[in-house]
Amino acid sequence: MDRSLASVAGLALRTTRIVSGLFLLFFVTSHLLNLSLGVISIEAMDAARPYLSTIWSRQPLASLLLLSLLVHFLLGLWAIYRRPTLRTNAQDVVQLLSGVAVIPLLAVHAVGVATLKIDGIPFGYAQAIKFFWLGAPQIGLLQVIMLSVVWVHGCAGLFTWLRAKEGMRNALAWIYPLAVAVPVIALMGYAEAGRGVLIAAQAPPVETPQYAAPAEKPAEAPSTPAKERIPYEVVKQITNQVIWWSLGLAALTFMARAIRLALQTSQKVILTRGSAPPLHTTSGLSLLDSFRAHQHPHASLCEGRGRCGTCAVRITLSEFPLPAPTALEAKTLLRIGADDTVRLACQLVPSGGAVTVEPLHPADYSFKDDDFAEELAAVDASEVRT
Amino acid sequence: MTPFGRILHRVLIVILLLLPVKASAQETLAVPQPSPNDLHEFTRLLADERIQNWIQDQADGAEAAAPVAQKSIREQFQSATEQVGARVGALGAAWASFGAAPAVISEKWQAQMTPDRRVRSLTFALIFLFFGAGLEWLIRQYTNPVLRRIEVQTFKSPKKRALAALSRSALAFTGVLTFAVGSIGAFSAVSWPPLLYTLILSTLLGIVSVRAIHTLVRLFLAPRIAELRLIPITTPMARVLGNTLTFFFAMLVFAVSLIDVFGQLTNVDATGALAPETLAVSVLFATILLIVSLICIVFCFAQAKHHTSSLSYPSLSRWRAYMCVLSTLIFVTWLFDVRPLMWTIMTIGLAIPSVKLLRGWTDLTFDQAIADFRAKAEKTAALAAPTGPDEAPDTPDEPAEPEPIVDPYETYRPIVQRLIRFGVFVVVGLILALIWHAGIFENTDTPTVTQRLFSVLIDSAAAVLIADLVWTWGKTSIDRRLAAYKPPEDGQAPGPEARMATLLPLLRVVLMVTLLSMVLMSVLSSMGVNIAPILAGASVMGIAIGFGAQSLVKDVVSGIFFLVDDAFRVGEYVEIDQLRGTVEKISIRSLQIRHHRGAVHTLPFGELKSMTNYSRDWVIMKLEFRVPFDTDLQLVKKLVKKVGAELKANEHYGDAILDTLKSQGVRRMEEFNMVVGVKFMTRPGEQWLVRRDAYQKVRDAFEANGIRMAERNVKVELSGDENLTEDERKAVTAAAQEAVTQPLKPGVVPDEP
Repeated sequence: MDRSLASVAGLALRTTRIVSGLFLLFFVTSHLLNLSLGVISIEAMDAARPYLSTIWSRQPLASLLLLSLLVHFLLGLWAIYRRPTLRTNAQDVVQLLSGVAVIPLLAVHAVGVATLKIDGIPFGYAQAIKFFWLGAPQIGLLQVIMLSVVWVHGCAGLFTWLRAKEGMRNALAWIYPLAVAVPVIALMGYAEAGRGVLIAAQAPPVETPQYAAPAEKPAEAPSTPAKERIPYEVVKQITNQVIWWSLGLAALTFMARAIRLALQTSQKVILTRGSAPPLHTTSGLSLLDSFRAHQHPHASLCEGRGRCGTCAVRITLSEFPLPAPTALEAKTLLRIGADDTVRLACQLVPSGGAVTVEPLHPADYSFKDDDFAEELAAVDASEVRT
Repeated sequence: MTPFGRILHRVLIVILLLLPVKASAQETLAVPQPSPNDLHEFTRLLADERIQNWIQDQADGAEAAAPVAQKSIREQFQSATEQVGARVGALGAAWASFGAAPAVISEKWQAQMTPDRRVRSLTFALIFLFFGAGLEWLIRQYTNPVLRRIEVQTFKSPKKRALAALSRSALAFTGVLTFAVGSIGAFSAVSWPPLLYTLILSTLLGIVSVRAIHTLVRLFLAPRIAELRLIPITTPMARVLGNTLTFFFAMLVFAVSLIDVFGQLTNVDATGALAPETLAVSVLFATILLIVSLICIVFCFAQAKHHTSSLSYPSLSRWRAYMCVLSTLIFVTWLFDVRPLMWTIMTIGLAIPSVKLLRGWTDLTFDQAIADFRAKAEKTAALAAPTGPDEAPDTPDEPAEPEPIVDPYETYRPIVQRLIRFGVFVVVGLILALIWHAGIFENTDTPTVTQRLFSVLIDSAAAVLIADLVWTWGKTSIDRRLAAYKPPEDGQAPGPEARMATLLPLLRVVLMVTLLSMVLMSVLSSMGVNIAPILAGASVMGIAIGFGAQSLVKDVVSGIFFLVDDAFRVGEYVEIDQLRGTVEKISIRSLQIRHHRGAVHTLPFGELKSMTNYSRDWVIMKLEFRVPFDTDLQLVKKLVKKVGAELKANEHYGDAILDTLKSQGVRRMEEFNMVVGVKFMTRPGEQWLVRRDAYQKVRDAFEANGIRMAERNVKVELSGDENLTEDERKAVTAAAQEAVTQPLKPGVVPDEP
């Protein structure tokens, strides 16, 4: 009973994570679209700001955004804690590290902008670009790193989710270019606007010295007025606290995970897949993780999140009874129309002993293969008719 | 301006910068004719004494400079020594300024790069990297399914395997190329100050080149996928080697770009010489690189001892020592700045192990291909086997002896190996020529010594290598055919391949002589020896010898054609112009046949106009029996048929009878008897034995059935013989006897064994 409740909770957590992640990605996309207007001019950026950026700082959306960020971060940490192994494929590692890095990177930007907003100082793109390129180039660099990290993290999550959806197999090819175009154009806008600011800052002192003063003044602008309303030290302190708290939480999660793994008693598992020689692994790993650890290619479109059902295996022999499928696994198994002997390799963690399985799909399986199979069947049928 | 307009504008500028030649060509078209005023000015200038003197000086200088180009060997050696001496001096200065180097470099660095600038350039570099990475990621999303399919496949033939490995690397290279184009392209669209340009470009280039090297390593070693590995090593060894190589090359690229940036930073004078501080730093880096490479080599070989079984310990140690010495030599030549020598050592030093490696790889590939072929042939044989016993259950011993499976690849193994060696030699030769500025691609009237030397070497090497290739091919195929030939057992006629045993060695010798003389000629010709007299002399000699040895040549050539026509083989019974006998020996010029009485005839092939071969396919023999007129021909036919059946059933020669003895009826009527003809057909050589038994058995059968053989007799009819006395009767008989026993001419005695 307790177990089934836990598995249903797992399914709910997963859904929450996807929903919050999508919401955050939507916000980031809108913000980046605004930034990419910098390719045209800074004025264009500011003109579009109310519709693309400021709208997110209005009340219901702002709170929702903050909530989503917190929930997504905590759920991510929970997933790290639950993970049996961290040595999976490159994409998962990238997603994990970028996820941990997002909040520390974001802190300066978010806290700074929030402070300015509370203080009521107008902080449009004209000021922001000057600040990031002239006033504090280190923070500007940080913004580029943050943008890359956030986008990589968001895309990793989005595409893992989309790839597991059978209906998306044709749409994906059209979404990939968008996923590259949005950040690239945004960065181009940022660089172009910055170059304009730099040229403007270099040129005037030679010709007309009176323009030099306004060029420097906005660079000071964010910090000097902030001193009057909220002290700069406080802002800095808040920022540091956010950074250290998030890093501390992440570190705690890794430590807790290490303790969990150390306390866990593991049994030896002898795993045989198809006609390959048996693998010696432990009960802590799922079947898919064991295959990966031994460099046995195995089909898995959702990278072991139990969504796609392509890693399904038929259990031909098990020395000890296997744990019952979780709600997530049961749902996927139901969807792919599997019988009792079929389980998901990414979800099944054998308790020990010898297990022999037979993969249902070839290792290079993708949903497109079904299309080919249908086409072949159609060709065969037409040949039979003629 | 719209963003696209701006981008377009920028792209246009880049294109214009890239194509300065075209632009200048367009400018020259627009140049107007010189005005009369200009011409006057020009003549005035020419008439000016100062200008004339200057032109004179220039001409003298050119004359003086011309012989300098033709330096003697002593001068060249001297200049090389001076260069090394200067380098030693520079090294000394570098050693002296070694302690100050970090301070000097950081000072220059601070002077040219403000912190803000540094951070901003880093921002830009990051943006470019993101561009490249984004484009590459996009490409990879589309190629990943193909890549994955290649990686999990199992391959039947080595060709498919190599193709898959190549296409996998091509996909990876496409990714790297996209990355390079995206990042460097975005970078070059913006104009930069020189130092920043060097810094960012070397960062980007460094990343791209390390990734390209990593892809190459993956092509050959494929550390994760044993199926796609091109070099025959085990998986752990591939992983170790791959990681080590990538690490070493990353270090190398890092060091080279750092030295480049430092050089740019400290290079105040335009001579191109490195400042002592930079030199000190580069020597430091080079020493670190040497140590790293030595450590890498020792580490790799230590791992190889655990994971490799194909190489023995002594050979491993030998290769380790070789690689260590090679690295050290490269370092030392770099240190003394003898660049051509360094590149030469590197090229030759790396060519030797790569030839070995390629050889091992070819061997492995061929072994696999042959094993695959064997397995397939055995499988088809196994498939064919179940139908065998149904057809012939009574003769189980015949199919039990399988035909030897001859794979089609073995002939090509030496050829492929030579070809690969040939390719390596050509590449090494070209690289060496480029290193030494031999200018083999230039066509000058007065070639330098190096140019001459290289052209001679390349021509000769090409001739020798091509001849070697042809010779290897010819020799292997001839040897293979000869090895497949089994000499006939005693008493059995040899098969059609027997003549090959005669022809092929001759062909081999001819091939060798032809190739040798051709190579010799072309080497001599490339060395500048005029081979026309040799050719003329050879042709005169050829004509003389041709006339003198006309009949010899005729013998040899007609012999070749007789052999090609398959007119006779060793062991066959032939007749040539009244000469008969068994062919005993076939040489290049003549044929020896042994008469059945022991005499040996030697016949030059040139003498052979036509010949009769009695040993081909079948022989028909006709026999005759003379029987009296009153013989029962039906009985004769029946008896002959019976004898034929007996002959056919004979255990010794029964199988050789193709068409057994049968009666042909009365062939003709003679004075005193009928001639009954019989005939039979056998394999060549068996007919004599069959004839002997046929005569004997027919005679016995006739005798047993009361058929007499006709004998010559005289019937004397006397009218009124009752009146003769006993004496008269005796006299008449004697007279008749005398008439009968008149000596008969002896018939033709057939001359046969």
